[in-house]
Amino acid sequence: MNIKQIRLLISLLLVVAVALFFGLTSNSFFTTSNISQLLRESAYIGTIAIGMSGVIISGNIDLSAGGIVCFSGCILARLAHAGAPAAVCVIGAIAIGVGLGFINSVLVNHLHIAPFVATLAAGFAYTGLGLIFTFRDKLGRQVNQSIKNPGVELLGGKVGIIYYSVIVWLILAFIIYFLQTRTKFGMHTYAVGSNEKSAQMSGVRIYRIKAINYMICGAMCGVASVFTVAYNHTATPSLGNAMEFQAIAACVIGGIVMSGGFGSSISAVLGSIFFMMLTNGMLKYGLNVDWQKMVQGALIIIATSFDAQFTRAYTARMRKKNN
Amino acid sequence: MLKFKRFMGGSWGQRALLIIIIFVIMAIGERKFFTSANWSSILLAIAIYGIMACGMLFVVLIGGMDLSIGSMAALSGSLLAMNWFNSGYTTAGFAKGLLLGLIAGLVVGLLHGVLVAYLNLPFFVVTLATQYLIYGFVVYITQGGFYYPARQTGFDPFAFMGNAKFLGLAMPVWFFIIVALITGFILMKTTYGRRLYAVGGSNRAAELVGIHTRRHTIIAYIICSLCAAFAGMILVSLNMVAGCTTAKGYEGTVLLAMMVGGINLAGGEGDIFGAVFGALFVGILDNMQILLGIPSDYNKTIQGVIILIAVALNVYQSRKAAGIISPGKARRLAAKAAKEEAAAAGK
Amino acid sequence: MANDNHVLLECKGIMKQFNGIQVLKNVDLEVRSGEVHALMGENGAGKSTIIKIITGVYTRDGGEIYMDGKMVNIQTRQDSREAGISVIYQELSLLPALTVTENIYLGQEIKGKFGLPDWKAMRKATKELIDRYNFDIDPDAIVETLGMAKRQMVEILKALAVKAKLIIMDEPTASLAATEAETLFNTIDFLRSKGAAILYISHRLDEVYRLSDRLTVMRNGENVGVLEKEEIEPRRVIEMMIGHKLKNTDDYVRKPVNDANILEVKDLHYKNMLKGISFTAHGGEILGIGGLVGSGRTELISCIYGALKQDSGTITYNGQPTSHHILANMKKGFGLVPEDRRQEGFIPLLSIQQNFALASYDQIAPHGVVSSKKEIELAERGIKDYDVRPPMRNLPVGNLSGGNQQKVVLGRWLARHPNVLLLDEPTAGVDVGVRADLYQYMRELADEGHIVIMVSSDLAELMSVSDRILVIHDGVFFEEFMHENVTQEAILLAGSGVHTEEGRALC
Repeated sequence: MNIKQIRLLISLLLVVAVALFFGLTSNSFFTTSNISQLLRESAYIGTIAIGMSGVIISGNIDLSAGGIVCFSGCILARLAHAGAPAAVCVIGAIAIGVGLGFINSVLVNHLHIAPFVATLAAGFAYTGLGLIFTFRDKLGRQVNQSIKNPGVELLGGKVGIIYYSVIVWLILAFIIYFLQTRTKFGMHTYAVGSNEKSAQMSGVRIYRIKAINYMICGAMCGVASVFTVAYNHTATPSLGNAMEFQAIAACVIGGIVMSGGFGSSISAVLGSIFFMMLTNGMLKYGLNVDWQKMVQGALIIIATSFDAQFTRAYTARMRKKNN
Repeated sequence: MLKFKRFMGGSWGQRALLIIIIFVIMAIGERKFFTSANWSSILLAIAIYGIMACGMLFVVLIGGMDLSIGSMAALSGSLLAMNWFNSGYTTAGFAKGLLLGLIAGLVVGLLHGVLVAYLNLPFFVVTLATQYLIYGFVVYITQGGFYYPARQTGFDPFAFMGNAKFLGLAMPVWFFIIVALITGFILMKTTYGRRLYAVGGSNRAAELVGIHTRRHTIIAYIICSLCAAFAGMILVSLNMVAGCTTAKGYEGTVLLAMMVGGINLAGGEGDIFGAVFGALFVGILDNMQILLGIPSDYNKTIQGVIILIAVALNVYQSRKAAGIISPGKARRLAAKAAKEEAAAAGK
Repeated sequence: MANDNHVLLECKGIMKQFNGIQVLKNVDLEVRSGEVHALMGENGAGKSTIIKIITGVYTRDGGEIYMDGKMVNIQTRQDSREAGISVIYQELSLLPALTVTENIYLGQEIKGKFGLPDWKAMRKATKELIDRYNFDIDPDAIVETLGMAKRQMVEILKALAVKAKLIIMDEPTASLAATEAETLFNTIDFLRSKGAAILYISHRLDEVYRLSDRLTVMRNGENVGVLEKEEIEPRRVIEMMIGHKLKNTDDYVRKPVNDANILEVKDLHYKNMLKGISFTAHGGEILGIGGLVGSGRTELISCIYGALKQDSGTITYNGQPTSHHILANMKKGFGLVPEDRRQEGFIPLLSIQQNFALASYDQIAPHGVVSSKKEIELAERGIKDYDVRPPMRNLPVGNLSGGNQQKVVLGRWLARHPNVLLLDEPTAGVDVGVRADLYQYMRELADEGHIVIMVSSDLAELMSVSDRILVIHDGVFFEEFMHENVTQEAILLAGSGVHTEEGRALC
């Protein structure tokens, strides 16, 4: 078993452990409605996280993910409210996501701005631009406008206890997993994250790889915005707020190393589920937003520290064994 | 003419130009801009941003960044307001709050420094995480509520911090002046400040002249958190309200101030004048939005766009100076050379 | 196959110039299949330039390249790869986080169904390759977990996977320990027996002696001769590399050393690099340290300075052991001019004044507060004394020429009149005019009674500047030379582990 599998197993065990803990100590945890809601909430972050996974694996970061969700969500709400067919709304939202992802990649690749600065700033801009499109009353105040669009509303629905968003999320996760592990593009993504210069020397088109990953991340943000808006029937100004943080948290907890070259979209899926279960379980204990944020913040720090130490220890051990 | 060009090309020229443009726009668009009442409110905004920017400057100089300063300000402000309020407005309660706020800044800064310098964790992950951690803690201690301390008759230390005036200037402005002077002194005059530039400029070279780079990093993060804590306490005193939304999103504004001030986010370049100028700029920008009636939710839009322009300009200039070209251009040049070569070979 | 000795690679009249300087003058090079062909020459002889032209990193100005008798037009790396040439660089170009198989096939994936990479086939091919060449490597191991020798094998496998006809190895043993190097040599022998052609670039005579079938020597951008296996003999090779015997011809007067100032190193060990180094340096002399690149010279002076911690052994200065903290050593009067000026020497964004001040804050800022007057004075004096041009103290050092940058780095220490000044390749990339100045400053410092220790790969410099030269070979000092009777040839021979009559044997 190599380090990737060990780390994935750790993530899986964490998920099981948290599920067991809350399941055994709270009787409202393993109810069908709770599981259903929990998965639905995981899907929002999770969809962004699987997109983010590629960006982080290639050694970059996208702090604008929340901004992209906000922007594409607001446009989507406008489109849907104007009565556009669901397909147009969905394609529009995803196209916006891809476009904004492309802008991110231009900032990083061509202007050579440090990824975290570029995407942090871009995130401000995207959120702000999105807010132009929110629904307002005559005085310019934002209002909660409920969207009437049967096609879009349908997307917020579910089969049995599973929401469509969850199904789409898992399908996309596997598609991205396939891309990451079975294709040339995926291999090159790991190569870029592992060592950009060496990858370039081996004939990898590093700028293209980074751009595609940013665009995939943008597209995933677009998908996430579709399901959020479809479920809530509205786009609020807080749409996408803090989602990049949660998505990064999910990736880190799932075992994607911040320096790149390690992990996969499956790690992101496990991380998202773990993250949401913890949040959900804490609510059951009456621990509200304050505790959730504290625990989330602490988790990220612990997870990054753990991974740094874990990979170092593993590498040292394997080196001894291999030589 | 050449001299003028050189002047405009330098960062000071750009700074002056930006300010002049703003003044012209405001003078044409809004008569209220030049009233003294308006200017005292601009100065107050500048003071808060400025104190935070001074702290952030230390961290940015060593090539880092602190995204948690907004939360830090909320924490220290809430601690101060709570203790002042809960003690029944006694001076002891105020002192306790003040002390706790500063201790919180110390602890957070130490945590950042140790995680970044000793565990080598990426600073934006660490400070983003603590941003949430601290925010959660503020909600926890305030129970999600807000403190509105009442104005006291007689000497009111709490209101004094934010609202008293001295020689016609509000106290926060004086505090800012003091912090800026101290920052300038540390960076320009003390060995610690000088070595900070070396650490940011080249970590390895700094180590080889005997500089303890990790210790310098930790101290920089502590100063940053302390400044944020101090600014937060002044802010709640100014607004007479404290809670989890205090200073929310200020890290973005301060980041903008850094960039506009010509401070190199990669480290090693920038000075107190840049930080002060940046604070001046964002303060006026805030005011402009209010005067021109732009809804506050466009804050982020405007800030984001300006940050991008500022960064792109900075990067463009430094790359031009270093003679670096973009990948697309490199490819085009290579293709052109190959074509010429082929043509030459064909002949 | 092994006795099929046709000419594989033939370069005819290769020309290359940089900035008007002719680096390669009409170079011919010929490599036959089934042979290990060594390429030797001093630094700057043009070895790496010709390699870069063959591998498509540089484009040639003139000349022709033939593979298997057919002319090939190599303009890019891709062209070179397609012609069947693979190169293994000094710094390995592997991706640490990927597996062996992934690394081998990165950029040259085997395509399966739907154009997707066929991992099973790649893994199988890797396994077969490993088995065929009898390597001890797991195709699924992550490269980061492998040692340097095994990483090199992966590089070789990478070349074999594309059926490279010619494998170029550029200083392949630079990052290997002795036992690891032996494994590599066995691999090379094995490859040769399978009919592969290898162009082997190395500084190390013993390796070349052990491995090569033929040897091409380059000097000043020219091919000065090809030796057959039986003709390869250290003395002859070195004579060809240097061209003519060079001795110190100056009127040298040996000055008495200052025994009040003594640095003593005893039985120093550091990893696999230093294996029991002992020596004494006296004040008043410039002590040169010679040896091959990567022989542990840099590590030695880093240990003395406190930038590295030795595994065992003692370093004492005037009877006092030195510290492992740089600052403590600096207070005793130690200074280091590091090899990599840009990364370790100066700070490009900071001004000349601030760079000068960096090492002297204890003097210009007695209580932690910098005295502007003293700082400016220090900088102005430094600029004047060491003739830094342009003489503008507020100019960022990154904007100066290489020579002036080095003057700032050296001047920073000289201003303190250090008791022990350590210099690592002090004139690399510095133009001739400035060099003379640097030597003069070093001599002046020594004349004041201080210790100056200089590591250099430039033989002429090492000979002419040092009073005494110690040459490292295989982790220990091998021979000692005096200024009066040292020759370039002798330094090179000693560095390759051959005793000479000019030197005094130390082991």
